[in-house]
Amino acid sequence: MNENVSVLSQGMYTHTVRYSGNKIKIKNIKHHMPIYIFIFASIMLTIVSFFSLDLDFSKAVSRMPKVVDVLYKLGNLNFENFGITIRTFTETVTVTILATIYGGFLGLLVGALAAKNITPCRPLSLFLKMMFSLIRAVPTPVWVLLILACLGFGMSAGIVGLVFHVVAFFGRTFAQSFEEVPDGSIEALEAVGANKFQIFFSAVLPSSFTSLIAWTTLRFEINFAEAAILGMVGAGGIGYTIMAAMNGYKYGRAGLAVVIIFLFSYGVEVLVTAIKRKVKV
Amino acid sequence: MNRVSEVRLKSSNKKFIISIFIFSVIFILSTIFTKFNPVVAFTSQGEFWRFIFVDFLPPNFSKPEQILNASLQTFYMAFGSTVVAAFFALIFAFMGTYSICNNKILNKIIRGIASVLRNIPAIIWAFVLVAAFGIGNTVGVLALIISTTGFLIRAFIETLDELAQESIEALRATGASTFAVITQSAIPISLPGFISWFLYCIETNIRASTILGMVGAGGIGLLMTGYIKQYNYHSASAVIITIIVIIIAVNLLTEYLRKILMK
Repeated sequence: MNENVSVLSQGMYTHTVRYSGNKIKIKNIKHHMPIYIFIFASIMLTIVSFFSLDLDFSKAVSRMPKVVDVLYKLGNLNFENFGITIRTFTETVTVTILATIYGGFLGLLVGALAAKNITPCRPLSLFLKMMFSLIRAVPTPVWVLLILACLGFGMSAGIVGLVFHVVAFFGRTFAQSFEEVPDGSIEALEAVGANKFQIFFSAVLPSSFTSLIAWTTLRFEINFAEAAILGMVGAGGIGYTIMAAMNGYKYGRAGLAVVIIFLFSYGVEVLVTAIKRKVKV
Repeated sequence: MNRVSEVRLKSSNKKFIISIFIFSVIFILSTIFTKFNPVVAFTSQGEFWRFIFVDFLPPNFSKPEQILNASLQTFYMAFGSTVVAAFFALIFAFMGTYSICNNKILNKIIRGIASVLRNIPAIIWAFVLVAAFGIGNTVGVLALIISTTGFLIRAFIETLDELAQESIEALRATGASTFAVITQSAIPISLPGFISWFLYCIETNIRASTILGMVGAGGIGLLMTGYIKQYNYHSASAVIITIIVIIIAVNLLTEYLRKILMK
């Protein structure tokens, strides 16, 4: 019997290993040959990269005390204007939540249209998948800059800019989850005369539910990191506080903001692990 | 329907209603706080299209060597730092997993450091490093190494724990040394998993390094921000198109590598 072990299902690319029978895997140089070539080539390319970048290692080493100094100043947490810090942090969190929610619903729709097994027409599925990679190839801050032009400075631009990426991300990953639904369960419903909506809501959605949750929680974590840096382009949030504080040499305030970002994102990580464990059981 | 399934149905219904309720409250509170109105966002898209088609397009590729140079820098930055990060992460991952290094305190310390490194976005590391090193490629490389190492330590530890644990224990039982366990069991079994995560990080770091340029960490992002600040949108759009091409090309490349390496 084959047992599929899905490694790190929260990653972008789950990678599946099959244990067939009771064979124990042993080291096999020939089998791993492409991998060894790949590793060797990577190391070579890295050496080339660092030479071409003209990195000044001696300067980097001589500046190390400065890094310690900056970290020390950051660690000297300063609670001045704490209200503003908390306000911008709340902005970042709400932008994250709304972008995930709107993106999630839109992603469900486009994901269903893009999944090969349930799409109303094949060319649409191909077209959507191309659009997803195109949208995702533009960095989020660029989307936000474009949207700032029509919505003005503020959180709305941040939300809409993030939603672009989130929809493309969910479109791709949700379509992938829908495609993993066994054909049998779709065909069975088709045989009894169910229409597309009934098939989607009673077969496809329930059987891909756990993987949808895994993707959504992963994207929530990414969204928070993205929302935290949007302040740099004028979309508000805690990134703005950090930038303003660093530019004004108020390291203590910036340090406090960084600590808040860390605590929140660590908390989310712990929560997500707990949710996943619960959903899987 | 018998009683047991009825009770179970009721309790799952209750859970469902409670989650929907919490979800709606969070949604409404966030909407009130941000005053976000999706209808306005939808109806004011005219300006968005005007901005793209009038201000940005057509792209101005008048300085191709400058763009090529910056894109190569970005690629080098992302690739080199991912390899260095993978190297560090590999060593720390062995120290962070109980099946290889059975020192619970060291495991905890490694996992804690990794979580600090990865839960602070790369761009914020870049901000901090710019304050110390000044503007330049070094900052970009270091920021990427820091956040990628944090991410890969966790990914590698999870790969080791899920895949190699049984065979490591089996080898341990025969009295093999730690070095033998690592080279004969842990690495060969988890190598495809490691490579998969490595390729994933190449993709995310290419994206990240284009953004890092915006805070002065060099590469193509720096070029783009420069053009935008000068309101030279046609040149900026040329850079954005180049970014799109690089990212899609790298995605295709990693997909291809994944296919030939994961057979």
